[in-house]
Amino acid sequence: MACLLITALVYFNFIDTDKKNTSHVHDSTEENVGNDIGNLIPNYTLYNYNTKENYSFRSFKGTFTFINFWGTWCGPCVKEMPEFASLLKEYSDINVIAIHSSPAFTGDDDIDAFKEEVDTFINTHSDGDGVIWKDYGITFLQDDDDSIYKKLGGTSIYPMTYVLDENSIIRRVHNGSISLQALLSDYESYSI
Amino acid sequence: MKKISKLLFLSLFVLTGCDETSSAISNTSSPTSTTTSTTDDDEDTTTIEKSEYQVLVKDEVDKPVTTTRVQWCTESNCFLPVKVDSNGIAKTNLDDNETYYVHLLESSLTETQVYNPNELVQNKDKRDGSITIRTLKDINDISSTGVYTAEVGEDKEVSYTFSLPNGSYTIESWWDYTASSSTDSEFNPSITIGETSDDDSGEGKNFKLDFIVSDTSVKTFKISTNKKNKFNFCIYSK
Repeated sequence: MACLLITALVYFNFIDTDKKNTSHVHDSTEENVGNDIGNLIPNYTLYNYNTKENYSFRSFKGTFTFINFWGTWCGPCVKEMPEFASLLKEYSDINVIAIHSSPAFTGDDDIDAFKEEVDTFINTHSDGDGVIWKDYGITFLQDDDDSIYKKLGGTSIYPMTYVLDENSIIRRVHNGSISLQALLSDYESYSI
Repeated sequence: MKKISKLLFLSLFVLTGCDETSSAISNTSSPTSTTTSTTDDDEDTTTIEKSEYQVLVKDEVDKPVTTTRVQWCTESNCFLPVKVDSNGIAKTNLDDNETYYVHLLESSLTETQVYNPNELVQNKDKRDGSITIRTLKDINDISSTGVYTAEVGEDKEVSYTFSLPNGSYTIESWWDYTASSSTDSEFNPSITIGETSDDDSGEGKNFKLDFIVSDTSVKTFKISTNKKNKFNFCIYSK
């Protein structure tokens, strides 16, 4: 009897057993939105350093995507970014979104000053072959303080990287730096 | 119609027996028991035991500085910077299995506030420590101990004249290798005073050199690097 009750609860969606569904999801509705694995990532709109316009998370639907949270203030984040550049050299159809957080920003600060600092960084910083970050093919966005990072479940560790399949479903979350090898492995594992 | 089909579905479960159904549910829900945040080796980060780490930020006369943010970084990640309290102390809870390079958030410092980025490394044997903020001095007037900024151009070499009082000193560069990008980690500054040079050529690390100032000693030093760069160095009495 208890078994029947559980079955009924599950079937009528009182208990969510599909939180980490690893099957390919093609449902384009917003019903499954959330920040857990198996969820459709919420739609946020952030400032885009490349175009100087706002960028919606729904823009990358249809493309395998890595969302990386980083900061100029985070050494390991800065060291990690060339790994994404190397990935894009091999797979130009992958989308890499790098979201900068400015944890020192408060609502009273001039956000333009923070943006200018980041803009200068990605326009002048280069690694190895002399290619500046802005030419990596990465889409650089700004999370003014760290609110989007926190809304997506970030606690305190940077960098943090979300792996999204072509349906913008969250497949994996990495806390800390990841290597090119790990990025490639994610692409092979989760690309539809 | 939808409700009828659901009821039929339930009936089917009852008829086919519960054991198999339970198993099916268990199999489906099993992956959700893992944490959504994973490291590369899939360790469950929620089981880590943490201890309190703290840092006092002070100025050159040991007065607490209350306007900065402290950040703890490992080799692979940084934690959100923590604002110091009214006593100049920042606290956080961290995993004891790591080594932490402790920094101050650059944007929480003024242009003339500098500190040694290599001053404090913490681990389970050293959970307390302090960082001293100093005032950057004018490179065109090296007449006292303190921190100065060297700016090396395309020619990868720069010379500075000093007028320090007679005595024994140490000069060391304050390049932060833990916070720099991969190419910056190859940065290799060296220093020469008279006939004496630091002896770490060929390795990417900070220079450190003892020297004596007397009436007859050389009054210039030459900084050489493998690339154009700007960095701080400190002169202190030995």
